[in-house]
Amino acid sequence: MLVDRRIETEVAGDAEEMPEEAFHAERSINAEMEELTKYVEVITKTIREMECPVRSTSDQLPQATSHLHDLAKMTEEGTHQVLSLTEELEHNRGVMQHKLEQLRANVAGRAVKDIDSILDMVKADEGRLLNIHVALSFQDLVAQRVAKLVTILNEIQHKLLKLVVIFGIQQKKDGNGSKGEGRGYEMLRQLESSKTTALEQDLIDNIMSEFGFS
Amino acid sequence: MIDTGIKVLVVDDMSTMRRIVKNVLRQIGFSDIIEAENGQDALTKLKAGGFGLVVSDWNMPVMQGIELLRAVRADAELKALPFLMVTAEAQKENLIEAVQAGVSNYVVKPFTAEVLQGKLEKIFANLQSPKT
Repeated sequence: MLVDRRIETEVAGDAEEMPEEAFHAERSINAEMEELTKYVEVITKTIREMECPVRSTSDQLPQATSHLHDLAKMTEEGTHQVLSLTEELEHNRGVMQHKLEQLRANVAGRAVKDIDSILDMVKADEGRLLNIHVALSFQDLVAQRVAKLVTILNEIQHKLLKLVVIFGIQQKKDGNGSKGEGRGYEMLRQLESSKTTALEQDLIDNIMSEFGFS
Repeated sequence: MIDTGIKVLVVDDMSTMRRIVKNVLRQIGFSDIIEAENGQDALTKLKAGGFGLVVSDWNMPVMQGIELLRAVRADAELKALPFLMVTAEAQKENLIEAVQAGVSNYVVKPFTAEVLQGKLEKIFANLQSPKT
């Protein structure tokens, strides 16, 4: 919108005594107002162009945060699984070493040499298994980095929400949720509203069975 | 020489790390190992008494490792307790802060079993021949 009206201006001194100067001052202010109006129009257009990406980014950020939480959780679960398996291996290795030492006491000749070489390998595995354990400490580092990323994303989301509020960008409610009735649809709706993005196989099986999949 | 007969407190908010450190300590020979999820939990357990070593993470919710260290050093009953910091905080500032707070030694993650054992050996050697 352009300013198309003249602006009343007050010029120092008597306007009748300086009609020329007052006229020029008024024209100058009108020109500046016109320029400002154009500037405001450009900014308004830019803000309108920003609406879509800001809205879509502010929609996607909670998902990104959720993915990151899932990532940390999955690496933690995976690490515990590997730890359990290596603990079992270490238990078996210890039993094997003990039995071999007992066996060694009851044999003679070449068998002693053979058992000794097996014992060496079994003992060496103790260190290897321990190194697998310690190598899994990467999970803690991953979780710490993920936590830092989540903090950054939360800050960005907070700032974007401020923009949304300041510029009045409306959150689109499309209402495209799972329609329909019954327990299966109810489970799907719960799934949509839940924060997590990763599904447990049990939950998938339950939902599938509600829809008749065996 | 490491005294493996003492009770050890492993402090870390990550269950995986507590398990890993416990396994390494068991391999070294420790058998009495208790866990705590954060500094506050650790302090409560330490005040109950009986501990001979603390192995703690730095970054934890509720109470951080460095705050736990300061609380331990400020407590008349606990101030002489060996305190090993095992942390991902590898900045020089963190190390200086920990040393100033009275840490016994400092291990950066990721670490190896040998490094952890080596640091424990140093801690126990210092206990037997304290600096004057």
